[in-house]
Amino acid sequence: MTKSKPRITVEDVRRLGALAKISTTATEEEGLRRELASILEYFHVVDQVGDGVTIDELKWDAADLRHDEVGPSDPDGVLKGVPQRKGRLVKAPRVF
Amino acid sequence: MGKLALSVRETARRVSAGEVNLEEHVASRLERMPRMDRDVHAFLYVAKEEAIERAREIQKRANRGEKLGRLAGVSLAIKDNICVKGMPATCASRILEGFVPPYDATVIEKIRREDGIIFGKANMDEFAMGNTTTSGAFGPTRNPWDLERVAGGSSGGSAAAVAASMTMLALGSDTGGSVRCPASYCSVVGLKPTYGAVSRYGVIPYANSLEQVGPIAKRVEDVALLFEIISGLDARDSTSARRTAAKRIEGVKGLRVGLIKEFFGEGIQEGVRKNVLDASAELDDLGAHTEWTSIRSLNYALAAYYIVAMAEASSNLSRYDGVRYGASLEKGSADWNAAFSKTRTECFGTEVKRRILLGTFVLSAGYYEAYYLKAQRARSLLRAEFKRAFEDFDILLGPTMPVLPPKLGDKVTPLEDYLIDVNTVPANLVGIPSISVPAGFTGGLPVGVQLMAPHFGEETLFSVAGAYQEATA
Repeated sequence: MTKSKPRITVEDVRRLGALAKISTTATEEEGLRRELASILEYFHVVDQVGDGVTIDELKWDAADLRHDEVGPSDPDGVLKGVPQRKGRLVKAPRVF
Repeated sequence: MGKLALSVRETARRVSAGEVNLEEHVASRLERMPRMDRDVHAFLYVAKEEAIERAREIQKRANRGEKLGRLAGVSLAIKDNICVKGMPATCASRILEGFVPPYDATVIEKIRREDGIIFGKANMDEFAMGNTTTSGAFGPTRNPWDLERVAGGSSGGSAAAVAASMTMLALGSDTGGSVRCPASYCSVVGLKPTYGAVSRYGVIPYANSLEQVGPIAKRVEDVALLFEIISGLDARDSTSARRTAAKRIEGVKGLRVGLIKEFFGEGIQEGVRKNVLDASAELDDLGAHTEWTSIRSLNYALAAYYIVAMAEASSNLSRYDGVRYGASLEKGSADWNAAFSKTRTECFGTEVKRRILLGTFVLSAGYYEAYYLKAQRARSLLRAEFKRAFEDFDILLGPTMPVLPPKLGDKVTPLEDYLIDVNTVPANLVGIPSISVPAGFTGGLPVGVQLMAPHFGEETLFSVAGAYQEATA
């Protein structure tokens, strides 16, 4: 994996927009390109972290997290919060 | 510092003892609210009828001699990303305009059980992305101490409501400093709890691995009480933790305080530096022992934070498609992608869109290892360094914000804005509790001092911060 800083192009901005379902105008694209490039260049400070460092995010010294166990679901509890229902079916607004 | 306001405990005692006509008191406060909030704009929604009805119901129970909750008659502002049944929850975004949650967040259930009275929903930066409370779709919140300046963010409405005495208490959420920053700028107390200490069920997410609901009040003891009420294991939040109390340090005598060198670098304003060093000297006068320490991983903490936060935001906000809730601009369209895009493009604000695009980038093929994976490794290093620091020190101290509250309308680039969060984001990355306490004023503007403790060390924070507040009040 190359460590060189990416050059962000207007095409990249459009591609990201398509992935994120956000459209951009031609006027916005160049401004966004400059902003994203500047921020991503700053982000490269994490290059100081070596590749050998492991992630231990699940190890909490003091916390006792809820155990990852299979348990029953609570469909009645979920239905209680549903604004509109028909029996045990959820009514959703028609959009398309 | 001036005399502190009446405490929550004393207020609840007076209500329970029938010394207050609660319904009249609440009605009169809410009658004055539009005038009080006209310039500050702390609230997006004022729950006038609901609050008066609640006050009436509590009064009846008090008259019958029933035991009331610990928040009896106490007013609260709730940040608008926390679901309150029957009240709008917009996250200050047009994309959720008109959305009314059908359920209460766990923290709200707990507040209601203790007879707290919700006065309304507080303004915020859109989807909690910001440190000024100016990016929301429904106007900025102004700092009650200087209306030409920002209240801080993203929980600016919550902090301003308390600072301006519109409510006694408030709830905010803190993903990278969003409770502590406005607490510092508005001269109130704000806590970011240990990650997992408070349930996030019913909190509209920005970045799941970083955020916590945090209490805001004028007094440390009130923040402590509200934290006690809202915290605890919740089966509905898979990241909620059984509280394992860390060793509690009582008082300040013999306390080992580490002043973090990296927080006093070239970006800090001189007035802030002086006030925070004075705060540390005050702790020494109370019997603490302060010395400088260094946490070198802080050099990449801010970048790591923003990479992780934006990545999580891009995922969390993908649910806003104009189909299930909130705004929908293309009803009946046959082109789903165009419909989704139109709603998201026109209803998200600029900062939200920028963070979604960046988050999409750092998770995309070819860039994931260079950014997201590196950021998570940086996070591990930072946690290890903090753990080592807490072997030598009971509390770590520094300025909450490196600067005084900026003026509204000050032009900065997005990156310059992000850099201001440099002191607050480490606690979110590492998951430790952190509290901001008023540390006086400089040039007429508030300064906050930040104290950090090991995981589940909130009681130590309250003990130390409370002693400091009492000594300087």
